[in-house]
Amino acid sequence: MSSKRFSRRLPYATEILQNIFTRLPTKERVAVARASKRFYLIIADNDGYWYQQFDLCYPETNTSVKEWLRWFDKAAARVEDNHYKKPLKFYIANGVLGMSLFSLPLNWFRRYTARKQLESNWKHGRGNSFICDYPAGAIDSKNNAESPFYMLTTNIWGTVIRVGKCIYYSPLQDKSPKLVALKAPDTHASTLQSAGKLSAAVNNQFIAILVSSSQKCYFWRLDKAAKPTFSGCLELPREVESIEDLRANWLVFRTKDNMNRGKAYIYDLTKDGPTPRVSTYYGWHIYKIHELRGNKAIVYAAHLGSRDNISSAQSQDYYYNQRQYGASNAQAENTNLHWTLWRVTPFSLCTEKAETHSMAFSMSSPNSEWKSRQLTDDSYLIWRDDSNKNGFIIVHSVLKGIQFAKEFTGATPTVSINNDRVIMSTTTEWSVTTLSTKQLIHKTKIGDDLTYIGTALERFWVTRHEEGVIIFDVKYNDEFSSNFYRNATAPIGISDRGIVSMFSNAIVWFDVGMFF
Amino acid sequence: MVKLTSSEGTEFDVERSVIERSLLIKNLLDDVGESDTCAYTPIPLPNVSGPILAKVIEYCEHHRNDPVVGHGDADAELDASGARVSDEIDEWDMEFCKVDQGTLFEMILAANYLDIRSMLDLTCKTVANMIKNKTPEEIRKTFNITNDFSPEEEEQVQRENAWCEDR
Repeated sequence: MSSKRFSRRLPYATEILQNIFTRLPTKERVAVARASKRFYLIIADNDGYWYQQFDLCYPETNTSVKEWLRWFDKAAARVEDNHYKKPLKFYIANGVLGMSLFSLPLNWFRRYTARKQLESNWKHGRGNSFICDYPAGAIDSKNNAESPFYMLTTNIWGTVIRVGKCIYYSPLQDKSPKLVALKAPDTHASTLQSAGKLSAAVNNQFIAILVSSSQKCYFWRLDKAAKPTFSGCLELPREVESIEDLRANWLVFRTKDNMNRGKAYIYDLTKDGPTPRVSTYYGWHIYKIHELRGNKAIVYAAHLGSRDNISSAQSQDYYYNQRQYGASNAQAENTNLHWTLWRVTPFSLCTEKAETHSMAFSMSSPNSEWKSRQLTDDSYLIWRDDSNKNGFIIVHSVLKGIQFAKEFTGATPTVSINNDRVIMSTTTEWSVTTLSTKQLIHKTKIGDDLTYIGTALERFWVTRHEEGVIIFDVKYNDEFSSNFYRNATAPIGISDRGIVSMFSNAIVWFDVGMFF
Repeated sequence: MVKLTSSEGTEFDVERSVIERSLLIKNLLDDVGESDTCAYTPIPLPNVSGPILAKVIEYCEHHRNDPVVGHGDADAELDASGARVSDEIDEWDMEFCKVDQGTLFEMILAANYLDIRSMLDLTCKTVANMIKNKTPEEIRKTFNITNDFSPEEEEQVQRENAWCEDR
């Protein structure tokens, strides 16, 4: 009996193939999917399995994972709409009319494998590099001088750059990315051109640029092809200092008082005029848009309180003060913003050092700064940055009820959380600590010639030196480089999709996330 | 005793309690009842050849005292993520499955047709072990299939799945 005989009867054996394939480990299933379209369809069809595999590796409670999923789904939908409008190739399987792979709805198999592939691309330096020459419009016509590039922001959705008096946006969605000038009407153009400090935020719908000196925020709407169109200018309250967050159409600004707390002003960019939809009554250290549900935005604010502020009747553990606020100045029928305020008291911050430091919170400390890497219902991170003194980081997992605090000296470390690991890095060392056990599991001193640039996928810690980029993989505690990154000698920005390197006369993208 | 006839017309006599591991035959015999008819009327199995039927009977005789696994129990083998929990195969079963590839596939089809769940699981496990650590090309050879991706599809699948070659 030959295998040909089996082959002849194979079309009737989908159940059997499923039985065989479910006995394979995940990686082996992917290998089988690459063998034939029929096998691919059978393997990919198990959406529940692939969702669970994705969730095991990349919990969706993680903000960056959510954002990557949003990006991947959008990119897949856009590209497949544009490039694969061919007659569907039908595939006969089991007597049922099958479909072309590109006509299948986006499924968890593709999300899982694309995410794995992205990490593999990072590690092996597998990707495409793109060069954008110096934009002609940015050359100063009077003295023919080229101003340097200055990056305002970069993330998975794109990069915003200031060059002299001009501002450019690169969505990096096409295979040949270009710089698109962000144009404003004449009444605003001069303010933008002459502004001192600018800060920016970008997502898949909007670009926002804050001119803090004139208390104005300009915003552009992005269409499906990521083409920006000027949409308006927000006149902000005087004390607004920074853009805190931008998610979908919601833009959050924060003020700062001498305790480094602040009010938040939240605008709905699709509706609001000069006044914000909501302004908060209390000063909190951090504001993050946590979740969008229909036309509602759920904002988390975190505030590290002082032991003195807690009455003895209250629990001596951390506690949460959760409140729901309607929009303060919105009309009743438009109350579409809700607040969840978390208050975390410092006395349970798990280490004696943190306990000691906690007393300082009740004192005025104008130079200290609070930031959040992540603020979700799963975990969040707050740290104190005092440029002249020592400080400490605090990691708090709401779901696990775990808090972790660690001292640092000198420059503020960059911190990220990867599953149960807390990764702290400074310009001279990086360490990995298990959150649940609080055990230090790895510590590496790095050479003096390395400069920390940023972290991608909460796993790859990117540094550079004169000859290029060296990346530390905190998952496997190893370091690597590759020819692909060798020319990134002036890396400025890191996003989950790669490195943006700015030279004097060109910008180079080292893109590892181009799947489409 | 029950008489079975293979696709070539070869007859096999087998104890009823043994062949009742096949739910197909068990249900058939239950429908017929306790009459003696079944002892003298061969049951035709046109989808199973003689050598494969002999293997099936060998399997059923060895496992005659095992609890019968039905369709309802199939999911009990799956863990929370939908993966099979156990890949272990005992020694006798492993020897039993040491046959050429074509025979193994015929055994799978026979176990499926005769509805012998435990034999189907055993043979599927064996095939799964055969394709572990194989490249897509080697898997195609194992299953004697051709690469039916369009060039665009193959490029896309390759781009999204090269990671599984990482060691």
